[in-house]
Amino acid sequence: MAKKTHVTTTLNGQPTEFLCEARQSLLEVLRDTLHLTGAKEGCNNGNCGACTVLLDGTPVVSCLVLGVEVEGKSVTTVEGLADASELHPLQQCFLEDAALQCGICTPGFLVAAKALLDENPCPTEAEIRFALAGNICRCTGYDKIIRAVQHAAERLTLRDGILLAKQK
Amino acid sequence: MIPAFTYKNPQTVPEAVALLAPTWGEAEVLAGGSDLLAAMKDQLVAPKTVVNIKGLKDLSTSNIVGGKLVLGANVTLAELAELAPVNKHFPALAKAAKDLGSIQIRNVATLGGNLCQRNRDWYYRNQLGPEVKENLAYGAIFPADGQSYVHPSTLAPVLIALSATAQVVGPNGAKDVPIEKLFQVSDLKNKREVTLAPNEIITNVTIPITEAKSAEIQVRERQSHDWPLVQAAVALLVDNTGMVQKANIILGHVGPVPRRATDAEKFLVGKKLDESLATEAGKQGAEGAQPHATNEYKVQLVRVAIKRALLSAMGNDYWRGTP
Repeated sequence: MAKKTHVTTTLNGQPTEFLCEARQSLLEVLRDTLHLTGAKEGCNNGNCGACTVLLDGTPVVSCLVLGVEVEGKSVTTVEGLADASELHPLQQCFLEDAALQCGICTPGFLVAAKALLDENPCPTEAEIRFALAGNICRCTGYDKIIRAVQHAAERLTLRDGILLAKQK
Repeated sequence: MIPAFTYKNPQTVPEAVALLAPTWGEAEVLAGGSDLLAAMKDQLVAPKTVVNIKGLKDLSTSNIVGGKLVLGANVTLAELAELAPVNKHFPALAKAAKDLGSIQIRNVATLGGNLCQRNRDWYYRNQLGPEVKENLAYGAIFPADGQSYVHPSTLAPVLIALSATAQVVGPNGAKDVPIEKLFQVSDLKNKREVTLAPNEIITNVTIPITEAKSAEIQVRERQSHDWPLVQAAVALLVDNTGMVQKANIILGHVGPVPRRATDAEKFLVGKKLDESLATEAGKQGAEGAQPHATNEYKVQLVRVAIKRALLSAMGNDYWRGTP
């Protein structure tokens, strides 16, 4: 067995350490070493987006990032979206709008959509479609997914607006 | 899991170069990883050493120096698409970067990596050999040296049109290589798509800031996330009467190296560009194509892409193409 490297990172907001071989992708580390099986292995080649995670806040495909490369960085997986008490509005809207069938692509879509809404709270439909172009769904088609993201955007702006009003 | 390798994380360019080997196959450069790691998973390469150059901080910056924009090789495509000087002086480059791949890929893929990537020929990637290539619908319509793969870089044609130069660093120091001279026809074995030696890396790309009007058009099956079927990148120097003084017209995804449409360039010099002239230039740009039955459609796409790129460069947004 090849020598392992000690990696220190921030995973879903928590300081995390792990040992990994240089040849292990971030996806393999997340699933096999850290047992966070939210990110899915689809094509394992950067085409399908099922393994999307946020690396320092930007979406990347974790199958094309080495585990050793996340030293000192921050990683967010789909497990980091919801807080202890409730689902993230994106997750809630995916449920309500039936935006998933088999569910393999869903974690990737959720993470990619979160990255979009973090940067652009009120995206147009075209902006959503382009932002999610790197995520492939082979069951539902994309309309329900787009609608769920639109609804989540509305809900998030409303929530943030109420929070802002309370602060005032 | 991919075969084991030694992982190196150098902090300086000389250190990185020293870790590379003089023959291909020993060591590979890891920048964004979107090409290398995919190729390793496809078992196309199995290096003993992987040299991560993301630690080379000087390679991630961009500056304007003496009327030229110097872009570090590690600038990601997402950064390239957003950089203010790129959008101001070279909108064609910003557009090409923005249209490339998916957001996940653009966040990791780098400028240098885009130029050094291996070809995406389906038969090559799947190691199926050359004998079935006749059916390749996405293949070259300008094959060369018996190769009918297309060069995968979408930034290269734009950079060639903009007369850009790459700084290449090897064991014997740095040299400047025009982007046009960076590519060769690979034999898909030990001769790669780039003219770099195995122990050389690209450290930056320099583009002279001129008055040239530039544009690029990609024709694709899907607007959102796809490889171009055909790409045309143009840069035009036009005098104040509207007369074309110099034209650079470079085609991408039509042959094993980016192709300069020399006849179309010559045809335009000394003329005032309008729609009928752009149409004629497009026809000339497609002259000499050697398509086969399944990719003959690309010939017409070349004509249209050149025409639209020329009219788009002249400021006619109608021809700009996808949003």
